[in-house]
Amino acid sequence: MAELPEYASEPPRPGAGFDTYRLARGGLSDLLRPALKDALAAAGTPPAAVDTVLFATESLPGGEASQTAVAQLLGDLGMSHAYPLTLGLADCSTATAALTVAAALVGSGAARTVAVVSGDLVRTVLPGGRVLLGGSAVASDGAAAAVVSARRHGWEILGGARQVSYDLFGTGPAAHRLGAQLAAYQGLFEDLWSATGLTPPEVAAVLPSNLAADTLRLFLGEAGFAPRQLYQDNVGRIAHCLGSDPLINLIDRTEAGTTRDAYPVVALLGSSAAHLAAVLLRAVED
Amino acid sequence: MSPVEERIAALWREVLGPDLAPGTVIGVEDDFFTLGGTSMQAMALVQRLREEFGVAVGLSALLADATPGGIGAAVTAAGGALRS
Repeated sequence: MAELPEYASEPPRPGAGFDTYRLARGGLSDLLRPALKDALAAAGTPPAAVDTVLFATESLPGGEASQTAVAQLLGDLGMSHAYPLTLGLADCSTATAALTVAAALVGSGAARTVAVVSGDLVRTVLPGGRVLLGGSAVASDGAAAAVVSARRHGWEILGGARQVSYDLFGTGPAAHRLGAQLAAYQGLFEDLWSATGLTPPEVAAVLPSNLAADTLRLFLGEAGFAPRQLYQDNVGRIAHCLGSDPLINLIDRTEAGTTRDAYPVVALLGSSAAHLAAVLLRAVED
Repeated sequence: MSPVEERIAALWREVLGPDLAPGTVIGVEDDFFTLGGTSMQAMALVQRLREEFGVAVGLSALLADATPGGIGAAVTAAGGALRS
C-alpha cells in the first residue's frame, strides 16, 4: 500500500483492513479466460453447452476490438457459439446483478446455460488511481465467473435485489449522502427479504465487496447483520476486485474448509458508491 | 453539558482534528455535520463512540440527531457509560 500516493505519508487506518492489492501483468482476456475455464470445470459444464455469456466488465476495448477480443476468448474456450452480451453501468454491483439476470434468462427459457464472467483492469477503468470512495476501498485487478443453468448443482439462486441512489453521484451535504447510503443498504435487504421470505439470522455469511472492513460493518450492522456474519478475510488479502469480489469470496469461503452444510444460505453483495446488488444463494445438496 | 456530552464533544475534536476551526467551542446543540464533519469522519465517530462507551450507537442515531445532546441521549438509552 505504501507505494500508493494516497498512503505515502500515512498508512490506511487499521480498521479498514487494507494490506495488499493485486496488479495484473496481462490483459483483460488473461483474467477472464482462467475464470471462465475454472467455472465451467467446477460446474461440470461442457463449454459447448453454454449458449449465452454475460460479460460484467467495463474493461473491454471499444468498437470492433471488443468483438474481436470476445470472439478470440470464447473461441479459445470452445464457446464460439455462445451469444455474448455485456452488462455495465452499475459499477461494482454489475456482476452480482448479472447473476439474477442469468437466472431470469434460464427461468424464462430464453437461455439454457449462461456463463457470467466478471473482471476488470483498474488501469483501464480507473486511470485516476486505486484508492476509491474517499478511502473506503483499494482497487485490484481480478476476475471471477459462474455458470447458471436449471441443473441443481452448487448453489441455488433464491432471489436478488438491487438499489440505486442517484443522490450519491457527485457531491452534496455529508449527512444527506450518508443517509442516502444507509437507506440504500437497508432498502436493498428489505427487498431481498421480501423476495425470498428469509431474514438476516438465516444467512450464515454475507460475501460482500471488499470495501473497508469497518465501514461495511457499520452499514450492514444497520441492515441487521452481526459482524460474525460478514466474510471480510479478503479485504486485506486481495483488496477490492471491483465487481468480482462477491464471487471470489464465495469460492474462497468455500475452499477455506468450512463445509457448505455449515452455511447453507449465503448472500452475495456487490457495492459501489451509488449501486448495490445482492443475491441470496442456498447450497444444493451434493 | 453532562459528562457524557463533554466526552462526546472531545471525541468530535479528535475525529474532526484540524478540520475544526481554531477556537471553536462545541455546544450541546451544535451539529456534527454543520461543523464540517464528513461521511468518513461520521463513521469514524461512530467507531469511537462504540469504543468509548461500549455500546453500539449506529449511523442512524447520528443522522437522527448529530448534536452532543442527541448522541448523548442515544448513548445513555443504549446503556452506555463513561469508562472510569
